[in-house]
Amino acid sequence: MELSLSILNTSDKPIYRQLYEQIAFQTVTGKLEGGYCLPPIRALANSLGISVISIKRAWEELERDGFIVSMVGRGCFIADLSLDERSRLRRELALAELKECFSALKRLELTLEELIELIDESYSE
Amino acid sequence: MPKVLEARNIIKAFPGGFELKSVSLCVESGCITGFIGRNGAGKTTTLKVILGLSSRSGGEVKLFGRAMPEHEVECKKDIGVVFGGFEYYSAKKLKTVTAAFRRFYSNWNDKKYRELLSRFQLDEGKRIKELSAGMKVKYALALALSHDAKLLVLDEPTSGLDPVSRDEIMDIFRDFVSDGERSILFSTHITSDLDKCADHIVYIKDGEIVMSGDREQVTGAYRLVQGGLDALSPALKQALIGIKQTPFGFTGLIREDALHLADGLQTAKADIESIMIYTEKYEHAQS
Repeated sequence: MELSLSILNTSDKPIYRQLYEQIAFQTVTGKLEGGYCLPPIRALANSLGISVISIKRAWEELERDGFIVSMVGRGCFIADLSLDERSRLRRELALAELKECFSALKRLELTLEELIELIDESYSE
Repeated sequence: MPKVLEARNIIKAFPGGFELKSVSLCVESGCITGFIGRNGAGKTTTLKVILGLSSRSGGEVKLFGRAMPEHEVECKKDIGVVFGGFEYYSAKKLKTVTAAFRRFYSNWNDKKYRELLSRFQLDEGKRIKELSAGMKVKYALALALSHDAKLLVLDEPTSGLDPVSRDEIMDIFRDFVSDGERSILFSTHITSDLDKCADHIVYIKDGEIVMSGDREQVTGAYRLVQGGLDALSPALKQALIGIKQTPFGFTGLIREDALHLADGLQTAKADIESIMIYTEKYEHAQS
């Protein structure tokens, strides 16, 4: 499977965060397999037109959170995750996404029951 | 809303090959209209033709409902014009320049002029060349605003100014139109100025108007869509107005009504800047 990355300069999210999310999502859904070798930082910075620093920061955070492993002199690789680990990380990412809309939903004074009902009705659309 | 300025199908060809191709634009009363385009797209030429400073080979221009250039003298009493920085008579004092300028306007309002000088903190005893770029624009604005103009036409009033000065100019603009009777047409390539205060947008590209209308409608008609290369179906690619492709994915500009082709992909709001960049730089040959 191929790595897919696209960066939006106008996004509210910083570039390193966009990289982080795209790689993390592709890792937990299995689109990127364990052992996949990420492209060299400089080459990637060149082809995406972004700075090396953004990529380094994304890689650092991905490594800290266990999505990738770096091997000195050989580059960075997608971590070999067990099914359990993968589903745990996937839940964490999903939770982070959900939390982002919680504050607006709470301001709407939506109850948990209402929220679940709404999700039931519209999520599979 | 009544139209204070109407230009229809203006045609003008230059020997070098550049031409205005049937340019139409209008300014409604009480509105700020931003005129955008790259350097050399035809913004200044269009403004010059509208003001009768440059000839046209076709089309018509109406100011306050009266045809130009037949009613030029009456029309121009009600217009304030600022073209670029103020570079004339640079060794003269402001009061000398003002004294020369005011004689052209029977409706000159000296009280208003004094008010503007103190608001803009301009010293009449200074010489033009002693003013900073921002002060020059403010002085030009003070002159343009002191004869009760109903329409201001400005060519890149904010270029070369720092962000704070630009913001001040935008405040002056909003203030000017706040009574709903007066209007502004200004050209710029600084898209953040438009985000701050333009009600309408007219976008010119290679001498041709490619977009015009309510700012939020114009920007709302587009989305940025991004994804991996495997998501770039031929139909989607066809629908993208501009596309930036890397070995790892793509980002493209798409019309809101074609968004169903990008189902499941991440999308984001497009601002004027990205609309311009994707339309001009990443435009792809639609075969």
